[in-house]
Amino acid sequence: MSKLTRRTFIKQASVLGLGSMVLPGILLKKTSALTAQNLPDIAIIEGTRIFENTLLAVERLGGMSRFVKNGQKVGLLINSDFEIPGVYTHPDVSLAVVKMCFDAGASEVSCLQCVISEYWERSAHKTAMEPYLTRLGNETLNRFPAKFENGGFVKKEIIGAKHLKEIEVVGKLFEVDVLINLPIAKHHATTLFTGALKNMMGVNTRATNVTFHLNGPKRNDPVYLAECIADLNRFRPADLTVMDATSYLTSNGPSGPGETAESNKILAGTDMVAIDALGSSYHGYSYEDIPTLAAGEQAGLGTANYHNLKIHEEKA
Amino acid sequence: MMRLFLLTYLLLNAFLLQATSIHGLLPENKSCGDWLVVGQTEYYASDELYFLINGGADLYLEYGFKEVVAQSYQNNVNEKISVEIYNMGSSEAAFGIYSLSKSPQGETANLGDFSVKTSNSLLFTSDSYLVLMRSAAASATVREGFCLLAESILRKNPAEGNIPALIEHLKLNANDVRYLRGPIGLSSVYYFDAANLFQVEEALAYQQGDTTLLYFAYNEAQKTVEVFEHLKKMLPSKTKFTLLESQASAFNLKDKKERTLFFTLKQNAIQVALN
Repeated sequence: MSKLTRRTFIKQASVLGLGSMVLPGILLKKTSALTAQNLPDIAIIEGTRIFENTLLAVERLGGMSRFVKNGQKVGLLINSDFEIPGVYTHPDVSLAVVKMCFDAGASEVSCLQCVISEYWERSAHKTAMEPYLTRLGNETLNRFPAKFENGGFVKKEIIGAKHLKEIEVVGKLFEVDVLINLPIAKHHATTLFTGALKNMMGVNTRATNVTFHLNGPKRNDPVYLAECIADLNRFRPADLTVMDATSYLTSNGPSGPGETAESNKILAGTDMVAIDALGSSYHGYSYEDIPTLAAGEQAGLGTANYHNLKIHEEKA
Repeated sequence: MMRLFLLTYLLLNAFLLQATSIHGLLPENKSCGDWLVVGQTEYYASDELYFLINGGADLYLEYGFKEVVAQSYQNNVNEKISVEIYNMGSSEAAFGIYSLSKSPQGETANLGDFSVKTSNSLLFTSDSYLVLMRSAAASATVREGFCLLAESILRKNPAEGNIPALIEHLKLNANDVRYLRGPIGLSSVYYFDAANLFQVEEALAYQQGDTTLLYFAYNEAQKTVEVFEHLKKMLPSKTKFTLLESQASAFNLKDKKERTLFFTLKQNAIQVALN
């Protein structure tokens, strides 16, 4: 695992700052070279300042402008639909991402799964972020138990899917240019771990998701469930994943109450499989424990062998 | 005359059905002080449970879930309490879900057979029913509302349930055990494998000092031996385990967290001690 140290980062930033004063053309080329060669695949920031550390994690990846271009529409998938801390993605993570998207010039930012107002109330940054929240869209029709007949969903075929041939998926997904996944790294009684890959089930109707559990060779077959999740992610992989691994449920998941643990880490990156492998490792799980990792790799979504990736770790 | 008789018969039937069905357990208006029914009553049976529980329905179904009725209540300061009454099919199954779901931070509420309360939730069992109440508020009026609603339910279903016989067999305190019926519940205690290697019929998890004990009980001695032999062969082949020692009726493993697992074959049971 290669580490981008704070000193290296500051040095690179200084070089860029000097270049911008002298030759903007050279700066552009230099930025591209840095993006290709020096930026990490995954940034992990450890500390208790969740809002600030989320900003820092994405900054270390090259900033939100690497993912969101001026005028683009962004869809967020936030694991917010629970009431106990450690069971939902901390709202400071979500608020930081909302801020970064608008600051990067997004014309529209929407929650693809309904987020209730009480969720934002749980953040100490809520008042300060009010100007951003008033602009934030919310797919209220995609609220548990999301039903196709209530509107807001479309039926889509997944070409080449292993199992999931047709899904009922929130229509807004096809209006956004950028998809950002905001999971929490927590326990799940059936799949053992739920993180980035499984969080994508939030774009589906409940009826579609029930087929993941019941249509396999036996009820709740973990491999079948994992392969359905991989099919879904291959249909529309997230462009960026920001995972909350600060405080999370380690038993009686996914809804709790149960035991919790703290790693105080925010993970950001584009490889959902690697991020899930890291997140599940905080629980002490190995590769063979989590069937979504193998299924995700087989679907070409990334690698669970994060040791081969460039990972930037920093305490803040 | 015939029509009047038929109408009376149908009304009486409807009344009796309401009184004996799970719907009849829901508190009515005026029975719980200021707390009044708000919104629609929801009812789900068997696999429909996936449409009520967002993650975790599998666990209830593993215990034999039958049906659930859900209703919200609101008081005159607009605080809300959601009430869910689950018919788990047996008092043992209701206890099993209770034993896994109770909050570690909770304290007993002295309601029904078993109960635990937190600042904004109440969970209790009454015979084969498991009742869960939650509120976004954590006020004194909400806590009072929990009690009023629970007492109303208990007046309608005063029957007491049995605890699993295995708890009495091992002379354990029911408040200190988790009662398991399958691999999903087991994964909340310790994760062995995605496959149901133990072929769980019923099991208990409990603490003895720093050791977590898992006791898997089986109806047939032959099955017990087969499961034990399969475990002895399969688990050491997993990368997360290292075999330390193996004998005819016992073997030891070490996991990646350096925990030692002692497996012992007993009469119609397999015991695992996690250190």
